[in-house]
Amino acid sequence: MSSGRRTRRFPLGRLSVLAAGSVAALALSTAARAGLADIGDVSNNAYRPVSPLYLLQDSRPADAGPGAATLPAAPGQPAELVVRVTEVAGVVSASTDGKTWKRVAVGDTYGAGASFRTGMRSAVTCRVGSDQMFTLESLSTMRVEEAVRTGGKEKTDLTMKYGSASYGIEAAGREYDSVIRTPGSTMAIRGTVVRVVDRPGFAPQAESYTGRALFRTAKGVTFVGGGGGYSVASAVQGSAADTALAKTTVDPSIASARTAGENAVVSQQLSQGGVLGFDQRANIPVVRNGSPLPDAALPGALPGRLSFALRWTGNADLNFIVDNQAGPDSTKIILGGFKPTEILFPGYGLNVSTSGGLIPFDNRGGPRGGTEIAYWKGSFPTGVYGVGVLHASGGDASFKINAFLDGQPLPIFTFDAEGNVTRVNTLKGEIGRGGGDGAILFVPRNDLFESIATPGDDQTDPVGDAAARAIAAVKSQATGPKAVATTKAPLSLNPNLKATKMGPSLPAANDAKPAKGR
Amino acid sequence: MTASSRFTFFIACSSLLVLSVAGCTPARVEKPVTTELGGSDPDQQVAFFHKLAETPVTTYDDAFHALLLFTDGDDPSPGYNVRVQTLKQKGMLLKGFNRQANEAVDRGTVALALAKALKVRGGIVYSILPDNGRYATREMEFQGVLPSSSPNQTFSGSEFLAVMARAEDYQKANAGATVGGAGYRPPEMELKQPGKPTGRPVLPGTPAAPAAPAAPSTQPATQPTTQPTEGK
Repeated sequence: MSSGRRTRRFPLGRLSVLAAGSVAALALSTAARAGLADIGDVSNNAYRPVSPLYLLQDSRPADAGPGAATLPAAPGQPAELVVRVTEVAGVVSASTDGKTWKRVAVGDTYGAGASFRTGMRSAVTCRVGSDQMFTLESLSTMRVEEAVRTGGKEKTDLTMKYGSASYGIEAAGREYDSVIRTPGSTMAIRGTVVRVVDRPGFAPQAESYTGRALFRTAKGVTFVGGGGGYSVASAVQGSAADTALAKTTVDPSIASARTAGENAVVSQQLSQGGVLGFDQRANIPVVRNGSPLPDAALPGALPGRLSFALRWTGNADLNFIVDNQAGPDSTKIILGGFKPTEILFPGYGLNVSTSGGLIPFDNRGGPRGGTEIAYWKGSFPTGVYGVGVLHASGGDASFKINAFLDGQPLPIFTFDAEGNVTRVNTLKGEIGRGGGDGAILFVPRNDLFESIATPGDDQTDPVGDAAARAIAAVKSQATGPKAVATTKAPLSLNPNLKATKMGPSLPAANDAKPAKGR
Repeated sequence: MTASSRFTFFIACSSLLVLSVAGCTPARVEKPVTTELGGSDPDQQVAFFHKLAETPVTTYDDAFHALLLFTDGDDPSPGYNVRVQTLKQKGMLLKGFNRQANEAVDRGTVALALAKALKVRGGIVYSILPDNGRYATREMEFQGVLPSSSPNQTFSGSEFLAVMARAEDYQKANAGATVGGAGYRPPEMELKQPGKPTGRPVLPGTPAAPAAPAAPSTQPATQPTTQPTEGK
């Protein structure tokens, strides 16, 4: 049956060329050339959910020629692609005018302007031209807006008002411009197999099984797939990465009480096997059995403008401490003696500061270590900050501390083994039972101290400095540590701060008010 | 109490009464879709679902017809009352259900019916209160069949259709068939993974292909293969 009538571009006179018998013969000969042996046996409507009979492993380039899969066209004019029904399950109807619907059977052919709709437990698979196919699933409707071939390029435009459908391109040496439109999304397909779902009440979703597709929703544009395997993007989460991350986490606590940024960090921990709980006594969410965030992911994972991160490997529970003394002149603060007025510690009411600082959870570690963060979301005090780590329980661990301002690393000032002031982007160290370590930094950066401090191995002259540190390390083993004590209290320059399990106690009251950062 | 304050009090009470009554009146539809497309004929079933998708509100009659099509594949009920009785006998409707056919369906009723139809066991609360629309709604949200909902909300036609499609996906998943997701293999994957065994005929010329069948001729034979029998 031929029903290639199109009111827009397809003159009625051409219908005389498309007698049912000639089209059927054309289809049969095409099928024969492609190796389809039993095309006539498929018309029993038996639903085979794995794959339709006709989908053969055709590794040859498409040589069927435009005449087999397209309607005849005048020279220089685009050729209409034939939409041929190759499999039907359940009850499926089609219409060429949107008003009169007829039951669809295998072998039926349509052109652009045809609409399909499926019933319950029904599906229809159609071949568009020779290289493309789509499957419309249950309770769905789709219209073929355009299906043409111009030279070596095929253009297909499908509109799915609601439902779910999959689509694939054989990519046999031609160029394809294929789009699936739904009310909530547009998917541009590049030689791939995709499935798109858009049903009212549920967020549109795009799946890529191979290849890459561009998925555009009200939330934005994202690429789905491209890595060779399965990839999914939801209009709610946005990118395929966000969708995957959201699907890996089950947040048992009150997720709505957290900000989007905190959720991202918590999700990172949970997605790597972490378990989220809550310590009623310490009054803070607790993460266990997570793992340290990788270096590359760290800046993007931190939720605040001013953020600090402690990461460690080793089966230990470490606690992160961040304190600060605010003031417009950080040089003056240092020269006058660093006296922190604000402190963040994971728990016991110290995980939130009056200036807006926050430690959102206490990572109690696990076999792979963990990550703790502290951050100020928007505004933050300027001045001098201290960062420290305390060993709470477990075995030895290797730790790293980083600080970022607006995504850029902040230099951390510490002492090397010889007692020289050193600046590094990542403060690294080893910590054992009962141990602690710390350093200071300036927010914003302090050019004076950066100029007098020796760059660390992640700053300039990495080779020379690394060698110097190695030599210093050997010397320190012989002479004992001078200023950096990995088994003593944190280097906070304030003797009033004591490292205890309950957290450092606040120093004497200071009248200086914290200045707000920009 | 002075006359003016009594009058004010009366007006206030009347307003509250009017508002409360107005708020309790459910939406109604003049003609449910089942009025014209309530039969069991397969083509009529397809037309029913897609006509329903165009309606702004789903009525109880439409919803119950769809539920019976979902559970039984057809609905020979001559009318709404028989549908209600059938669903009550199936345990999908509460015994005390008594809403009108053309009233807007509530999500709690649909959730309860689907939970029974899909044999959802649910969590602790639903297990204890299996006939409660509120917890049935929450359970079906958790199962991904209903979107985020209140049990008193109604459905538009397209939303209800989406829920029926999700119910079908849930049923397929429980039967072992994957629908979507990483484990699903769309038919179009055959275009991309020719090495995977499918049990289907293989194109001649590819490795391990059976002998190609002779291409059917489109031209009539010029020589008869047997001698025609002479007609009498």
